[in-house]
Amino acid sequence: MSITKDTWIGKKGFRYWYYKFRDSELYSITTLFVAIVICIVLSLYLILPELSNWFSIRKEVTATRQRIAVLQQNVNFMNNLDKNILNQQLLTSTQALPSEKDFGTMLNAISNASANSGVSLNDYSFQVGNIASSSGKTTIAAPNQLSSIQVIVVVDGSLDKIRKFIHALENSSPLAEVAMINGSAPNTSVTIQFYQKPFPVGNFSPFTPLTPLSNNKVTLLQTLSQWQGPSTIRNETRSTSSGSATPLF
Amino acid sequence: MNEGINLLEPNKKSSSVVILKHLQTTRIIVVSLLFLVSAFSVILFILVAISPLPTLKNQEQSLELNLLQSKNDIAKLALINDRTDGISHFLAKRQMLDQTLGVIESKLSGNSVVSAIQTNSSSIVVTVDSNSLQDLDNFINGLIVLVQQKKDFSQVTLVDLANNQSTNEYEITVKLNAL
Repeated sequence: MSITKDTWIGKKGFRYWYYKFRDSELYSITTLFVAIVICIVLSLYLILPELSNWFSIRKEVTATRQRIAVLQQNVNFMNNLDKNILNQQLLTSTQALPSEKDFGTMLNAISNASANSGVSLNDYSFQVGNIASSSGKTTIAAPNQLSSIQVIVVVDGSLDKIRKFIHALENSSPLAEVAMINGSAPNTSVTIQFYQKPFPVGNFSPFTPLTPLSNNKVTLLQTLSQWQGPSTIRNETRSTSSGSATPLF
Repeated sequence: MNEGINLLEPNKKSSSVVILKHLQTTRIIVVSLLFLVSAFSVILFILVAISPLPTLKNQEQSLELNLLQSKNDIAKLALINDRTDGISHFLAKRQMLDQTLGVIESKLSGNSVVSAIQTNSSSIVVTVDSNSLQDLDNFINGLIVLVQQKKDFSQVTLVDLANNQSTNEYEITVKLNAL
């Protein structure tokens, strides 16, 4: 190893100190200390953030895989769903429980029930309330919270016929409940309540697993579809009118 | 630190060997530490670089777009669920007056008829006409049996008993409390 004259004479620069101490214990301790400090600094400012980043990436990968599984399941579910049945079920359920007051369907139900039971209808009155459409409102109805409209009809008939009238009303769309009966033959006033429920505010998240309708709900919809509703009445009316339009000769 | 130039001194030689050994050990430790740190950084860098996250994100986006095409059907399904929930809840708590009237009707006998009826949420007041007291008795007994069996009614009260001389008919008014 050659040491230049300048160094030897005593400029005492970096090289001088290096050669002076490089074989000493102090040098090795200092080197070790510096290396440890560098390692600590690197660990703190480079490795730890990168490690934390890697852990968060792993977490995100797991979460994304779960979301993809749900999405895939939802896509498959929607692809396998029979759209015709879905539309039919929607029609049945909205006829049974409409979103707004529909006086036409209410009167149809009453008229149909009276025809089926044999009672004759005299006077009727509506408790109209707010006639504004609820579609423009953003009020969120609580689950199972139904609004109702009251109709009082005066019927003429025996107790048996009134019972049949009530039965027919209870088994027709839209949903109705006879709240009160009052009077004596031949005029008995029957207080009927028809129910509505505003459409819920849509807050669909694609990551929520879609599930098919439960068996109970399917059975309920099948029962409701057998009830006499506005569509059946409309069909009956249509067939009657076409019959009446048949030429006599 | 070197303090002299007497290289022949035996103690100096042994102390120098010890120092060299320490130095060697220190160097090994330092190199190992630095190697470990750098190797760990490289491994981490590779792990982050080959992460499947971007591919998964793309897949997720594509599936989301695919699902959005069925948005209307999903809304319909949600609506059906909402309606059926409301309907089930309503049907479970609906007052079935036709059944109650059927029960009252089933207890009528002979030529007795219900001439008046008044209902509210908790009770029913029925007026029954008949030209036979026996039929009216049967009617009341029938209702009492129902109350005793705790079916349909919790209490039966005779409100009024009257006789119409002109038509020779008896009239009873009974109040029935719902269960």
